[in-house]
Parts: sequence; C-alpha cells; structure tokens
Amino acid sequence: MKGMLLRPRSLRESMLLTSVAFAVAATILMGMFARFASETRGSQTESVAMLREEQRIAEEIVSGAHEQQLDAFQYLQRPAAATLDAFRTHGARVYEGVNRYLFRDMPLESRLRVETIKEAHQDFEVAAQRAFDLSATGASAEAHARADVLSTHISVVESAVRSFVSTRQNQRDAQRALMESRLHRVQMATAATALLIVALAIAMAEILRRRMMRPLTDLSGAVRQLGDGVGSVRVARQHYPEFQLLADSFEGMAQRIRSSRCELEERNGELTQTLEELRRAQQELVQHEKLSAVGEMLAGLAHELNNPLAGVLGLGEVLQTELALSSDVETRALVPTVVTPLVAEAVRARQLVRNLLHFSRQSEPQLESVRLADAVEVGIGLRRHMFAQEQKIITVDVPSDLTVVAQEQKLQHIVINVVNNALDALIEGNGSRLRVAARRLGDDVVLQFDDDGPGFREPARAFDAFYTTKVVGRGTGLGLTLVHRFAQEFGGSVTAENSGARGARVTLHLRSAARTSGADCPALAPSQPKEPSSRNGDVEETQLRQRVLVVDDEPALRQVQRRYLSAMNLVVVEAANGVDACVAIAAAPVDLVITDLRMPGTMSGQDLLEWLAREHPLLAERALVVTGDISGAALAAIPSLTPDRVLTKPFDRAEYEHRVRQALDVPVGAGA
Amino acid sequence: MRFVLLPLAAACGSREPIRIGIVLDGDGIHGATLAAADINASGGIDGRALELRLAGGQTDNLARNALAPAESLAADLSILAVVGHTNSAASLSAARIYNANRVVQIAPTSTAPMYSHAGPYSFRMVASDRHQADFLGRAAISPSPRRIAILYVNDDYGRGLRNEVVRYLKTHGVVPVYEAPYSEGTRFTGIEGVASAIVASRPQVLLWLGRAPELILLLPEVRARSSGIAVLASDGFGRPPAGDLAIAVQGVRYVRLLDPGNSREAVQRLRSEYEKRWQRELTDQYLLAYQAVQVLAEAIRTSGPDREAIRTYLSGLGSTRAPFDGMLGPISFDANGDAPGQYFLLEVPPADSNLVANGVASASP
Repeated sequence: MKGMLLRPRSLRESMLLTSVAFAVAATILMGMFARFASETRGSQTESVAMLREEQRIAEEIVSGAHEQQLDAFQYLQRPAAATLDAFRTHGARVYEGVNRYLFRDMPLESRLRVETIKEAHQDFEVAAQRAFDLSATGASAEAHARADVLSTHISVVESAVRSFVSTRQNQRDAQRALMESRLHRVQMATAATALLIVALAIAMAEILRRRMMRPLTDLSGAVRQLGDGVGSVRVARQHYPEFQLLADSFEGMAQRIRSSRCELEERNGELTQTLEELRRAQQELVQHEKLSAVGEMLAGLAHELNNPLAGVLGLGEVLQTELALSSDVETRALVPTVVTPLVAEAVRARQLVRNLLHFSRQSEPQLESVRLADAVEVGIGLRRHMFAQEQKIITVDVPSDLTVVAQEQKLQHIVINVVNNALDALIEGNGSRLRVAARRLGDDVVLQFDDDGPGFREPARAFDAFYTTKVVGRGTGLGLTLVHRFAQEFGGSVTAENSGARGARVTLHLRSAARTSGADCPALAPSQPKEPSSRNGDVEETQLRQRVLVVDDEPALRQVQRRYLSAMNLVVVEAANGVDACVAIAAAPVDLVITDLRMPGTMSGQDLLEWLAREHPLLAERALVVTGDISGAALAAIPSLTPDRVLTKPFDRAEYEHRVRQALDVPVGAGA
Repeated sequence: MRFVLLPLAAACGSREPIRIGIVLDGDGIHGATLAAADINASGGIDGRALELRLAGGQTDNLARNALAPAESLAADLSILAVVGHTNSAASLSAARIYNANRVVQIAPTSTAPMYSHAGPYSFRMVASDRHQADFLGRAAISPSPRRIAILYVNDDYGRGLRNEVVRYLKTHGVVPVYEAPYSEGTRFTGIEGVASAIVASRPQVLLWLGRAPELILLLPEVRARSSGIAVLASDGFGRPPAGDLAIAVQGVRYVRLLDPGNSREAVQRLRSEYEKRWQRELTDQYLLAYQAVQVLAEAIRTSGPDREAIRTYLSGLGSTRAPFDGMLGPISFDANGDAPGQYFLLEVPPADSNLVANGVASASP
C-alpha cells in the first residue's frame, strides 16, 4: 500500500482517476440536484395537498358543528327523536373528522390544537345535552336560554378549527420558508461545487497540459534533432512512466541509429574494399582463364616437341663433346661456330618447352614452409654474376626469419624470373639498380622488387602470356606469367606497377608460414637444406664396370643416353621396350635401369618398374625414370618414385649425370 | 421527567442500563416500578439494569397532556419502548407520535376500539371495547330489561364504547331510552338536570361508560329521584372508592379486566403486598402495568435492545412464537396489537365487592 502511494501514478491511472473523480463529482452534483428537486417538489406538493385535505376536514368539522347547532336549536324548539339522531350523526361526523387529524403527522402544537377542537366539540355536545335534559324535564325556558351558550361553544369550536388551520398554514409557510432556505443553501452549495469542479477541471487540464504537452514537445524536438543528424540526442527525465518509457525507447532508438550509422559506414568501407578486391579477383580470374586456355593448347604441343628436342639437344651435346676431341682443326672449329650455337638454341628451346609445360601444369602444388631468404639467395645467386658483368647493382634486404608457404623450387623460379626481367630492363633502359626487400605485413610476407629501369609499358598486361616488350629472341613472354601462376598456387598474389617517374615494382604477397599451424597445413614440412654429396669423389671408382640398362622406344634418346653413360665409363645395355628390358636383365645382371615411362607395346615403363619391384626389389629402388611430363601427372601414378629418380626430357646433361651417379651410389645387392 | 434506577441495578455493573418510558398515573407507575425491581433483582436484562423513565406525571384524563411526554420519550433514542398512557384518549393521541418514531407503545388499560388502528407499534394489554360492549350489553339486557339509559364520558373511550354498546343493543332490538355524554372533572356540571333527565326517561338500567368520580356525584342524585334503576359500569369505573364514597355507588355492578380471584402465587404475593402497603384494593392498572414491563423485558432479552426488534417480538407473540407466560397468564397479541380479554362483573357492596358474573372476550374482533 505504501509502495502504491509512493509510486508515481501512471498517465493512464491519473487520467482514470481524474475521470472517475469528475464523474463522481458530476454524479453527486446531479444526484443532489435531482434529490433536492424531487424532495422540494414532493414536499411542496404533499404539503399543498395535505393542507387542502386538512382545510377540507376543517370545513367538514365546522360544517358538522354548525349543523349540530342547528339540530340542537331545532330540538330545543321541538324535541324529536329524529332531530336528536341527526344531532348525534352530525356529532359523529365531527368526531370522525377530528380523529382524522389524530392519525396525521403534525407538530405538537398542531396536535394540541386538534385536542382543543376535540375538547371544544365535546363541551358543545355536553352543553347541548344539558339543554336537551332541561328541555326534557320541562325547563324549556332555561333550555332555550342555553342556546346562547351553545352558540358560544360553536364559536369556540370554530375558533379552534381556525386556529388549527392557521397554525398549519403557518407551519406550512415556515416549512416552505425552510425549504426555500434549504433550496438556497443547496443552490449555493451546488454552485460552489460546480465552481470547484470547473476549477479542478481547469487545474487538471493545466497539469495534463504541462505533463503531456511538454514531454511531447521535448520528444518532438529530439526527433527533429535526430532527423537533422545530431549525434547525441537526450530527452529530459519525464514525470509519467509512459513518457519516461517513450523517452527511454527514443534514446535507445537514437543510440541504435547512431550505432547503425557507424556500422553502415564501416560496412561501406568494407564493401568498397571488398569491391576493390572483387575487381582485382575478377581481373585475376580473367587472367587465369586466359592462361588456362592457352596452357591447355601449349601442353600438348610441348609434349610433342619434347622428344625430338631431347634428341637434338642430347646429340648436339654429344657432337659438341666429340668434335671438341677431334684432331682435325677444322672439325674442332665447327664446335664454336656451329655446334655450340646449335646446342644453345636447343637449350633455349628446351627452356621454352619447360616453361610451356610449367605454364600448362594444373596439378596441386606441394606446399611447404620455405625460408624466403634461402629462396631469394638461390634465385639471385644465379644472376649475381650477370649483374656484376653488366655493372648493375643488386641489393637484398630479406630478413632471415621470414618463412612463407610455397614450393621452394617454384619460389626460386619466381625470383629468377623477376630478377631476369629486371636485369633485361636495366640493360635496355639504362637503369642501374635493383632492390629486393621483404617485410612482414600482418599474416603475409611482402617481397618487393624495385628497379630504376624504364618501367612497365603496360603494367596491366605484365602477366599476360606471351606478352613481352623485350627484343625478339630475348624473352618468351611466359616469365612473369609463370610468376603470376606460382604466386596464385602459393595462395598469394603478385602485382606489377610503375613506381614514380622511373622504375618498375613487382610486389609479391605470400602467406607467412609462421602463422600457419600444423593442423591448418599438415602437408607443410620445413625444407631441408641441401647437402652436397660427400661421396661424389668415390663415384667413378664404384661405377667402374657397372652396367646400366637404358630402356627407351626412341632410338635417338637411347643413343644420347649411351653417349652420356659411356662418357661416365659405364657399360650401357639398351632395350626398346619393357619386354626386351626384362630379357636383358635376365640375360645379364645390371646395376641400374633407366627407363622411359611412355613406351608402346605390352609393357610400359610403369609395368617394367612393377616387374622389377616384384623380381628385383633392390634394382627397382634405384631405377631412374625418363619422362617428358614435368608436371608429374604420370609420375603421380607411381607413389614409390621420388623426385631424385626422375630424368626430364630434354636432358640437362649435368643433371642427368648427377642423377645417375646418385643412383649408382647405392650399393647393389647380390641379387642384382 | 424523572428516572427510577432501582437499587439492584447497581449490581449489574457499569454497563449502560436498558431504558423504557412510563407514562402512567399512580397505580400504573407503582406496578411498572415493582416489575422493574423484580427484573433487576433477578439479574436485569442480560446483566444490564432496567431503568424506567417516568414522563408526564399525568393525573387527568386529557389527551392533550399526553402529547408532550410522548414527544419527549419518542425523541430519546435510549428509550426502547414506552408503557402508557393512562386512558384511551391519551394513548390514542400519543400513538401517532410513537408510531412516527417507530417506538413500541404498550397501553396497559386502553380499551378504545380506535386504538386497534393506531399503528403497528401500538400494543395493549387488554382487548378492544368491542368485546366489552358485548359483555356489557349482554349484562344490561339480562335477564330482560328493555329500557336502558346510557351515560358516557365524551372522549375517545366513552364515545367508542358507547357506539359499540349501542350497536350491540340494536342487534338485540333495544334502543336506549336515554343517551347523554358528559365531561369529566370540573366540567361535569348540571348534575341535577342530568339526573332528572335520566329519571325522566324511566330506565330500568343505567349503563355508565365512564369513570367512578362522576358516577359517585351523579348516582345519589339519580337514586334520590328513583330508587329502582340498576347501574352497570364499564371498566373505567376501576375499583370501588373507599370509605364513605363507596356508599354512593353501593350496588353498582362494574367490569374488571382481570380475574380478581387469580390464584397464581405471584399475583397473590403482589396483591398481598399492595394491600398491605396501600391499604386498598389492588387495581387492574397496577397488575397490567407490571405485566407490560415484564413482557417488554422479555422482548428485549430475547430480541435485543432495539426498537424494531421489540416490535417484531411482540407482534409475533401468539402467532410466530409462543405466548409469553406472564405473571397473570399467557400473553399474546393479535394483528392489531390487542391482547385477548376477559371480563369480570363485580358489584360494589356496602363493605366489599363480590364477583357476580364473568365473561371471556375473544382476542379476535
């Protein structure tokens, strides 16, 4: 209860209470009016009717008394029983009339007047009876003399009746005056009450105006401010809980609008950024699609070119070696003038074919954690001599602790390609400096190549396949395209742009391996530093008298390999297919099998390897595979085959010899 | 107005006493006072003392003198009921006041027929004179008198009784040879003329419908003129006067409302105490006042100290509830508040009264 009293009334409660109060007040007022009017009317009507009735009774009493008087006079003149009966009948009427007063409500004074009437009438009747008695006893004169007495009695009766009527009239007048006085008081009270109600109504209206209109004005202003973009809008504390709730709701709404606005701006920024990224991704996608289409076409072409090119190059190198040993001067002179350029062109063709195959490669890269400084150093190391020769400066600023998600060989390829491009640009554009720097940027590592050459003619086309601005014969138009491909395979990106008035900038964004946990990228494995073979010096001795079986359906390639292997002082056994190879091995043990994978006939290279694994496991473990597919798609079918047992066509003689020595370094078992 | 707080009331503690008003004269006051004393002596009404408020002290029979006490008592809300008044005219005159104020009035001895219509709050301990008129009329024409003179007091009592007696006589073919009203007290004049007129009408029976004092004055004058007229008086006669005055009314037969031979122990005790104290015969007024207080006390005890509850109780006696066993016998009221009546006819002897006849009136008209 106390709580209810202390709790501020709600607007609804206040209005309800006000309405009830006014309704009650109005009802009371109307009730007072109605009741008073009814009472007044009823009282006055009743009073008038009662007075008329009493006057009528009074007239009957007076009339009856006068008739009795006449009867008495008549009886005294001539006594007769009928006259006496009439006297008594009229007397009874008077008596009855008086008694009708007896049972009416009237004040004591009036009631005493009634008793006076009754007594006067009784006295009259007794006096009349005395006169009758005198008359009956013969005292007629005395009896007649009593007539005056009777008149006096009748006068008393009449006077008593008039007195009664007058008293009643006075009482009625007094009552009317009382009623009028009461009416006046009630009118005054009603008027005062009406004024009070009006005053209360005005007061309540003012209170409601203050407590309703002001909050509404406040809220209206606040809404306007909010609409005008005012950041922080506050509404004053309100009296009524409803308005306070409204104000709280409004402030909450304003707060949410502010938050939404900030969020909207933030999202707008994000959207802009996303749009930018989308645009870039779209460009990359277009680039990727273009490269894919070209790559598919080139892949088949490269495969077809690979075998003849391998023969040309291999035989060229053989020719170059053998001519150099010729005793004929003219013959030897052919080496620098004919054979060496021939081999060089074949090497360039081999590089072109390899680039084409790289370009068309679709397989998933085997990503690993690569220390960026090592990859950069390998790539740059191959060209540092050229920079020095061309008197160009190359500076490297790559922190040694940066590791990236990449495939080491391809990352080296990226560095070599970019550096080659830069060197060519510096030479052609008379630039002097290439700066290679790397830094951590969030979860990424940025590797940046800046030169002061002439810059890109069309930066947007820098990564297009076969787009080159180099002189004819200097570029294949695939270097930066492969850079772009490899960067994408690593989950990174590359951009080309011109920096300032002079110079080009190639920026690689690579994922930092430091951020990637083992769970996220289980395939990653730290690359092991390459250790040079400590047994290279012993190879020649162990290779003496060792037999190598070369299995290839291409006679030119068998011949090239025979030349290479013979030069390595190895005994070469040749087989044109898998079946012949099996026969050869059965005929005489060999120390090493070098087999082409794709061979016509009933037994391919893969079948041969499987046969070896069953029949000569140790020989199978060291067998080398020759393939023109550098993408590794064919090799993927032979899980046991490690990369160091693969010889790619066309051969790089040094690599070939290295692989062979590496394979023969493995001791051959007794069964071999 | 004075109060009678009876001695034993003090034993009832400090609780507010029960008050009833009394508007009676001598014997009525004595009877009521004794009843209250007896009630208080037996523990009062639910432990509360019964207090009588005596109003008026009316010694005449004028109705006008009943009005002021009635107004006073009715206006006093502590008064739960009133026992009064002395005669029919006074009771009738005051009845409207009591009924207007919704306070019960019990008239001990008022017999006027008109009192039956006085109102729902008006009760009486006796029957209407319609019954006494029959009793008187029968006595008047028995064994066979045909000349009857009637003298009646010209008030509500006398006129009412006269009308009823005349009605009865007419139904028996008797027309009074003389009828005359008279006024009481100092207004009772012309006695010789009245006596002469009565004698001149040669009645066999003089029917006196009034009180004793005027008859005491009139009867010697009548007998001086004619000695053969038997006198028959209504209950207004009361008890015979004592001493020499009794000689004037010797041989008058009169009506008593109560059985003078009531052998109830309480009645006998009262009679004995009364006669011992006052050296005169016990009156009906005394006993009926006593019994009126007694029945009111029972009404308050049963229904509570509330005016309306008292009325409800009384109106139900004999109808919705059993009659109250009062000192004189069972008490009940009919729809008009009238009690059933018994009439006893006595004669004034030279030395004492002897019961000569009695009759019983029905409670219903």
